[in-house]
Amino acid sequence: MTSASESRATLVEDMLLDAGCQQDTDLRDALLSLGTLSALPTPAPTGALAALIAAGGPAAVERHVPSVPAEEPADGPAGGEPDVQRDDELARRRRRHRPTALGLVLVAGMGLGVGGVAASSTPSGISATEHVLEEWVPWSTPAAGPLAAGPLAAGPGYRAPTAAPDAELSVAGPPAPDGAANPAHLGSPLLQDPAGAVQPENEHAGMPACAAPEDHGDGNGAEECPPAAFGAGSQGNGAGRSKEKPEAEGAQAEPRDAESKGGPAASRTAPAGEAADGGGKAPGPAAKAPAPDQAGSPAPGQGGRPKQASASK
Amino acid sequence: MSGTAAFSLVYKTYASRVLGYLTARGVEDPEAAMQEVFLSVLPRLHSVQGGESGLRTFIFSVAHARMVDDHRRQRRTPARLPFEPELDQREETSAEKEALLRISPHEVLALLDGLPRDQRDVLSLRLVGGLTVEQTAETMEKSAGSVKQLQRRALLKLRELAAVKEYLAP
Repeated sequence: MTSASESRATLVEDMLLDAGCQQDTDLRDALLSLGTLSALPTPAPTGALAALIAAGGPAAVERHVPSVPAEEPADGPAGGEPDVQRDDELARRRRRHRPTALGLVLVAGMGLGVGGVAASSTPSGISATEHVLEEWVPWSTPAAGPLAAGPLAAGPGYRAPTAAPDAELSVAGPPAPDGAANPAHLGSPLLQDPAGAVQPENEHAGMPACAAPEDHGDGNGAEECPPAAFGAGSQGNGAGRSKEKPEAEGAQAEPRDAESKGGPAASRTAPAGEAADGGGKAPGPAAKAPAPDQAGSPAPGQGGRPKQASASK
Repeated sequence: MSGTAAFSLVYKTYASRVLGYLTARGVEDPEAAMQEVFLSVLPRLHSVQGGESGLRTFIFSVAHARMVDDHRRQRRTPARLPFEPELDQREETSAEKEALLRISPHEVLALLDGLPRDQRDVLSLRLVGGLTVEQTAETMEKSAGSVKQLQRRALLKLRELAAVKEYLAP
């Protein structure tokens, strides 16, 4: 004990000398008191340690305490071995949950894929109908633009002209056997055959009739449409059935058209450009758009197509 | 020398130092940790090289690893009971008994609380374990120069602590 205290005092002096604090008595006392912890009474070995000391060897301990040698490899001199064992435990725990995590990832991926496909696919019927309607627009007259938009928009200005030609046709004259159903098609030129069988009705009858209310269409287009369709329908029927004698009947129909409309454009047999000027001036700025359509209509069998109207000049 | 005699001699020689080191380093149950250290050391006595110095280094290396493990476990379970000096029935018969009577073990441990962990390790291994600078460096897996620097900084820090003077005041 004395040798231990002397060696401890020597050690404390060396430490104070290294730190340059050999004159500090308080620090020396503190270090000496700290060193007294090495002289704590030793407890008697108990349990597994007592069995190990009594057995005198690890082989005997294995018989007495089988669980102790299993823990010994982790207690080597190197301090990092417990960390290695801890890492092994963590890795084993991760491997245990790996199948579950993989399964969850697979299920989530499949769900996202199926959901993405379902969200990206659109109903085919609606898009096909729209596609066909868009493709048929160029076959109609220039005035068919608003008409083509009419059925899609389902506006009131579209259905009004369809009723007017029917009424006019029944009054104006005997309908042709093949043309009886034609006025019914006037309101829906897009559904007609673009090859030209009913093209005259499409060109001059349906287009101006519905173009006027469509262009003026502020809600009262239905009122203005029937007069426009009246003359157009009568003229259209005559012109459509008599392509071989266009001039006379066209000239007869034009005054009626002009009277019914009250516009100067249809009263002339002038070219479409002049009629467009006259018709555009009369109704005012709001009626400028339908005027060219009305001007194109007097040309029998040619309607509002720009190329055919210019050919009639 | 039989195995039993060798084990008993090693245990009697180093048990108190190991227990003091584990106590100074704040191990939750120093006696149990000390017994675990010897349970790991004694079966490997035949593989220890370097004589008495090598055996001391080996023992305190195991004790240091146990202390680190205990500190990690305490961090995971922070609730622990405070040390109660009145329940400590251990007695001292040496000359240092007077110092311990004046400075209780709790206060001695409180001296080290103001130091960083590495500095506490160095002081504990050198003063309580009785290791040299080289043995301390090998135990802590540091260089001798860094151990000297840690020891010097620890002493300067202790001197600056006002608590030291309060404890040592008559």
